[in-house]
Amino acid sequence: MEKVPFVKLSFAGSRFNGARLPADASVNISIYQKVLVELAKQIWREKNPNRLRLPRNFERYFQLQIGDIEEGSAVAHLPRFEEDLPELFGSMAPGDIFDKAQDELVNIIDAANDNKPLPRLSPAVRYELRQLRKNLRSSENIVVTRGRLSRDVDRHPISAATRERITREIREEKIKNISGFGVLSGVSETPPSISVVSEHGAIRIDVNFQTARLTYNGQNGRLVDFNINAVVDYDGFIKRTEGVNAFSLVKDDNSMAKAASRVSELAGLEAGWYNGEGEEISQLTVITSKDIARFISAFEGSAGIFPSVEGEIQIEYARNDFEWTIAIKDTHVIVEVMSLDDDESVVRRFRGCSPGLLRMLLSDNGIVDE
Amino acid sequence: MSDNQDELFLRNIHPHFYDNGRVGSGGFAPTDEHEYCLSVDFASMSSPPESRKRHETVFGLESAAVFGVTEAEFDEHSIECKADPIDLNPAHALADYNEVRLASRSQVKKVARKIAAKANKRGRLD
Repeated sequence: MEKVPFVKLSFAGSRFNGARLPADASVNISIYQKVLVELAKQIWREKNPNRLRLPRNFERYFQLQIGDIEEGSAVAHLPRFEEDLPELFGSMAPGDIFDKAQDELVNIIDAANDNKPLPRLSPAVRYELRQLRKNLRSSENIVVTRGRLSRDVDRHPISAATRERITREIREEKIKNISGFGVLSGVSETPPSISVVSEHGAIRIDVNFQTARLTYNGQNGRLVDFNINAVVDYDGFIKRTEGVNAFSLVKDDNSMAKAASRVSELAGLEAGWYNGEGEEISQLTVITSKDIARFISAFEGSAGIFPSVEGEIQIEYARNDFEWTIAIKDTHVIVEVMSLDDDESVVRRFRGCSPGLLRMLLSDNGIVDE
Repeated sequence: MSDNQDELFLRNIHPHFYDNGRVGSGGFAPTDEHEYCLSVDFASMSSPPESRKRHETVFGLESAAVFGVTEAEFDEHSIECKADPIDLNPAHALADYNEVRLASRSQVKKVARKIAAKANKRGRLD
């Protein structure tokens, strides 16, 4: 194993004089490592879109250790240890990923200090970033210096203001124009409004009574095409609708109509439908399945819809070298995305036709940031 | 087990497990009722149309399509294929999932998905 100089964290403040590093402040070293690990995961996933799982023991390759504490203010030297690496890592070695993660973290700190927009960050990275500077007083800072560089030429301070700017940016709401498809999930007459589930979140639109009654009543589960202005959070999830530019029910095309009719056909199966085995399919299963089948058939014309002996409805199709199976029973929905090349798979559970489910169905490989 | 890993086995698919040109994983998931064995025919002894015709007319069972999986593809999941000639069907064989069943019932379903994916890739044979 080779020891490689990686980063120096300088703790600035009177408490740290004489190379003292109080235990409550030193927790930031492990938080710093956690931020790097989460950034490394984000980088690895971007570089390996066909892989569903992180390599085994991924985090083991991203361990920092405290080398020594330098005199002056407390400067923690944190080398990392390189070891032989499994081929599992793909095209980038952990060392390279770790270096890239470090550079990205420095970019984030600099962007926050310069009041510039932050790069796109996964929820896990954001969570760990918000923890940095834990137990530090407002006058105390951590200064990051990379590798063998001197603190005079490579200084990236994390001050109280840096953290505040990161937190503010992450929490900031924006008005965004959003267009796409969703599923009509409810019609209310008091007050008259309709609800739609989309991958961006739930949408509520006020309509007049006549429209609610005559146009949308009885149309739950139908696909809708929308263009709205909405207040969204950092992740782009809708907080509330500000204005509607366009909104219409999508006429069932051939594959949508076929999917809905196939579900209706399976609804008629009686107990024992498969050589004496096979449970009946509940009405709730049929309703949930119709919404989901119609949505899937809008972008995946080759999906097959099948009953299971356990009384589920299963929607199956192949996309992007993965085999997708959506198993529905009552309002329970299980999505499994399986790689055909190896044993990797992603499984997620949902209740009904939810924004999270639609996000997963529209993703390339079933992996979505949550 | 035959020595020929390229040997293709034919599976008649129940109409409920055939939709939109695809076989569903249920078509390759044996149940407790059948002691976790799947009925298949040796393709070297029976063509897909022959297999289907026999299934429907001789045994009076429903078949919406015939799909095929090789011995190697079954073998990859520890599914042993063994000859099981029966009256009026000397080509009959059994794909035995009991080894998979030992892991769990959900593993049987998972393997059935992989086998069905292979069969779908090869396409409908009749």
